[in-house]
Amino acid sequence: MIDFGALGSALQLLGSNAMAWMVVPPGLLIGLVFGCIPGLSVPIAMAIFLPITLYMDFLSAILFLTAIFTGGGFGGSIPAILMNVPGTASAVATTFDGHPMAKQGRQSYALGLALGASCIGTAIGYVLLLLLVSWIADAVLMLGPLEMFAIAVWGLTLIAVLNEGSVAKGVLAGLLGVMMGIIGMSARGDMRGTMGMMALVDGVPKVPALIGLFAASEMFRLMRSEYIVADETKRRPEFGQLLAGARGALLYPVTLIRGSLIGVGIGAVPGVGSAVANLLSYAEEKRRSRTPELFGRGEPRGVVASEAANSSSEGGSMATLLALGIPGGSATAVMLGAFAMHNVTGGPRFISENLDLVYAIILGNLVQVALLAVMGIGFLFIAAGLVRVPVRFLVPGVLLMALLGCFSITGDMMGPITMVACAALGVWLREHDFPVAAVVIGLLLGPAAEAELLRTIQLSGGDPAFILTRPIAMGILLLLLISMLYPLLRRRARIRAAAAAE
Amino acid sequence: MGPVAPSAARRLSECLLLAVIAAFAVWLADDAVRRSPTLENLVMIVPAAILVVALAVGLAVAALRARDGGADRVPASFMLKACVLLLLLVGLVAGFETIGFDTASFLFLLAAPVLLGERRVLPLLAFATLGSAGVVAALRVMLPYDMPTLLL
Repeated sequence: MIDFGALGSALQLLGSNAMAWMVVPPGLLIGLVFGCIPGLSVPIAMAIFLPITLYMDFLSAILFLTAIFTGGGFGGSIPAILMNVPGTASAVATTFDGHPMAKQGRQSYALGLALGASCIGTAIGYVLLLLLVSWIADAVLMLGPLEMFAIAVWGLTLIAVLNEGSVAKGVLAGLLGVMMGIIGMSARGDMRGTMGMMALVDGVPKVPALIGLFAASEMFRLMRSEYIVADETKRRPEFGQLLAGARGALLYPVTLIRGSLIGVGIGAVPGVGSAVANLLSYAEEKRRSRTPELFGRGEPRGVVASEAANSSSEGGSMATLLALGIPGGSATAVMLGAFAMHNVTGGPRFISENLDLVYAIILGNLVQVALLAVMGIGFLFIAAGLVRVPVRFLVPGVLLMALLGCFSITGDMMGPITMVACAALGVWLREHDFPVAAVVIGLLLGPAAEAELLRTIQLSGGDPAFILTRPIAMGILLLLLISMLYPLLRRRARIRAAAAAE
Repeated sequence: MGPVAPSAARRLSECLLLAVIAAFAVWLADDAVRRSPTLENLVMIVPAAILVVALAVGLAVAALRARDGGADRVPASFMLKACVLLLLLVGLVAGFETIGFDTASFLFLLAAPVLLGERRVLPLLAFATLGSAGVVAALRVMLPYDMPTLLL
């Protein structure tokens, strides 16, 4: 599993390269700042700072970029917890229990919990990468369009799990998201729903739509209160609670491990990414819980599951990048740019010929996790003070930053316009108890589901028996079916048990 | 005709939302069919649109049949404030390219806190000036795009 000779060389490489260590703290800080401002995503941060890496050696460049990746992955949870506004798409599920904890005055504990889960999740992701890098690469190659479609459908079924109210409203909201997501150019090159606007050829801008649906509509809800935390005595950032929260993540080892495994697995699949891992892990945790009714009301396990998964997905996406040279998402696509700038090509040959370098990257990232734990606590102590800002100043400030963040993503007015339109839609949907999270899931997964379904039909010639030749797809669909039926069967068993007890 | 009862207004709003969603689904499916009536183009859109319309109709019927639409959870004054804030956002977006990012941001950061209840002049001016200058300056350093400004 591990080549100890290469491991020794990796330690030597890291020990003799001071630059590799000097670039990590600023990288983490950049990631934290970009991650915690809605709209300023991690890939943007990495793209902005990519040119600087030209002046670094390859190892330092990759460690600098992965530091931004790691910092940003966690940074997104800060506004998710404090304001119910996911800083990145991968922090959507963190809002479900993180923000209720903040509203109860437990924001310091929730932030610490997210930091603890993120650090442990990232570490598990990289340890698995260290042990299984070659195996993961082989496994990813076995996934075809049918398997990818099954994964996307699994993500879409979360709609039913995440909605507390009417299932019909959840499904309708999800379908609305799917339809919004497939606006733009089809696989055949036909423009659908673009109204002749070139800006819509690539579809509705996803992140501005997400920010509008979630962040802006949440700001409108926040307007009703004076402060995020009603109780004045609970608004002070508490260092002790931050530390207690970070330690508290260890109280849920099963949640951490399950979330991390989901994160690594989903992160390794190109094009799916940490946003799905975050939602899937949360939904699985809720499904398996004996007290699912506590989720959405400030349940710490919800925060741990979400953060462990989105952080560990970094390790999974790095596995695909290193082993296959395929970027799993926008962040690793930027990293591929750094590979190209240093004349390095990822893939099986890269691993076999540069195993010491691969190990050095992995070990460097494990040290980054420890640094994130220390820097994150300091950063959180400052960030937790946000709840002391009156809502009358907070709401306009966040809306302006989010709007400018959307401009930064698209580079034109399409981003801000999308955000405002989706904000209005989000307010209206929330007013009538439609889950905006379902719209976001549909928006993120709809295009992927359509593309993979189409490829499957083309490959199979429309023959349904094709599925019988794909055991992995059958396995995923079977798991999907079981995970959907399991809560129903358990509920029935409970009712029977209660009836028997009476 | 007398004033609309709160529960009726809520039902009306929900039915209107459902009508908008259904109309969007029908329009998108129709647009896709007009562009190219092929499997590749319609494999997802048409089934999704049919489901959307069916669900929207079902939910609208349920909303209309509900005996008690429930009192408005949000006071009318808040809804008015939310609408004005939304208009301010529209104005901000429109202002970016007409009066510049700096001026539009300053005016938004001045008007929105007033709408939300801030009346002290000095904090308002300080917030709007520092907020707009800080955000615009930071983004100008970070972004490779051109940001039209009036003063900064």
